[in-house]
Amino acid sequence: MDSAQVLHLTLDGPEATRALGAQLAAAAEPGDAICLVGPLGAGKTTLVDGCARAMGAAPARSPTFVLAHRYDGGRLRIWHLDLYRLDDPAQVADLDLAQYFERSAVTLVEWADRAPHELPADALRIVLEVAPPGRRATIQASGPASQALLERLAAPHRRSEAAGMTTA
Amino acid sequence: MRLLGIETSCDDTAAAVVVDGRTALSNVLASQDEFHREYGGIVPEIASRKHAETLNFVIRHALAAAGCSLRDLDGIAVTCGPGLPGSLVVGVAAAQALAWSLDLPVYAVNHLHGHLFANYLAPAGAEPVQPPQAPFVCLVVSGGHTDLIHVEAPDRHRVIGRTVDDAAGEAFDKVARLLGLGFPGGPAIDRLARQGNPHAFDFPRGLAGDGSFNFSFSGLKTAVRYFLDAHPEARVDRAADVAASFQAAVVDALCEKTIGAARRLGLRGIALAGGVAANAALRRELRDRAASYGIAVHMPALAYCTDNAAMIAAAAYYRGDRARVRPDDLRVDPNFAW
Repeated sequence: MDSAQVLHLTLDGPEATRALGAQLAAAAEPGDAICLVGPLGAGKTTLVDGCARAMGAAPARSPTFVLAHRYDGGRLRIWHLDLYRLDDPAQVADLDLAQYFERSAVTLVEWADRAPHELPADALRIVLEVAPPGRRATIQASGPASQALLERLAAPHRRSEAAGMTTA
Repeated sequence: MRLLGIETSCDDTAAAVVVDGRTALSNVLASQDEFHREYGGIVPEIASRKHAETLNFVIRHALAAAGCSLRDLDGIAVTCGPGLPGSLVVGVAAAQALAWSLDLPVYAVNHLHGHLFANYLAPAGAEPVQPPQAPFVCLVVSGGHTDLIHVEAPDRHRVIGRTVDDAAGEAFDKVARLLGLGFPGGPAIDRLARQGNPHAFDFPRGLAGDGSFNFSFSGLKTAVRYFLDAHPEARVDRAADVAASFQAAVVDALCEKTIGAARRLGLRGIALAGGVAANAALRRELRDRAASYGIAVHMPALAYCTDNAAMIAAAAYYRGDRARVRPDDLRVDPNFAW
């Protein structure tokens, strides 16, 4: 399914970003890892919030200060990591990030580009860019599990324009 | 009743001795800011290692400063959550060991209750403070939390509002970083803002007038970023105005919602708590604006605003049997809710 190698989406506002999170929640399977990349204010926490709510867990809040939040009570446990405060990849080596990638949970990592070598090699990568008046999302897989996730995610998007998302 | 308090939930290792929940005989903090500055913040595994290295020293120092020994204690109070599991477990293990070896009762304290009960504390030798009389509204505002609590009785709390995205203290840190100021960002913005014009720029007040008691600071942070992207020179020649205008937006949102909650619930008192309660503009504005509605504002002394162990001992005293657990049952609870 070559067309699913890279998925480009236009998100016309925060609700569209949340809707993408909700579709991730529907498509995710235990053990999936999702890396979020984008500048301050691009909508990374908003996307995780959409995912957590759709999963049936509590609303997500920014874990910048404490590094990790865990949301239970939904279809799957969610780990929400935030590497914002880590400037130098060498600092991350001490963190033992592996403990947050449980086989029974879905793990979403904000500022994933701050620790490229400490995160799973097979992860769905979502790059969020500011594209007034909304955001642009570029979604790519990097291995078999994330490729499968991308394919599950890609199909519904053809029908999701009502939610403010359009494939670019 | 003399309690030893232990607090290791985030980046500071702290111990204190408190009498009857009101008088802090000592309040010792091994501030780890210097360890964290190079990391631009709190790095948990590093924090937990430092907690383990410094906690024994901090406890000994707290006992010595209080002029007492382990035998003079009536119990051990320790933060069990919310916080980082790896950090919490260091304090909990120490409390457990002390309780077992000294055969003392142990109290499992919620860190957020601690911030609230910081309002009851005064140092030894000072006038005891007049604690807020329940019912009142408490705003707990820090790097990890922005919660609005209806305190119906000293030990009965109801969450009536909270941030839907970023905590206020986190917004301070992120904007401080955008302006190239150091960590922690709160005090840096507070200082710089004194030289700036709070009306220079009109930054958004999240969720203003939405009828809820919730807060939002993510949009404000993004607005400051957009502004600095569009006006890069402002980082240099208008930094104080940006800091003052940003701080005014945060303080405005916090005051509006907190006073609005007190008025709607018909309460005559407000208590401030948490690390951001040390912010000078917030202390001044909240007190002045609440006074115009005849509402009294209580705020902890600065030493009890940021994370500390005296507040943990105070909370244990007032929570009493509701916090007391068998030492064997003491557990970290990273998601400990109000």
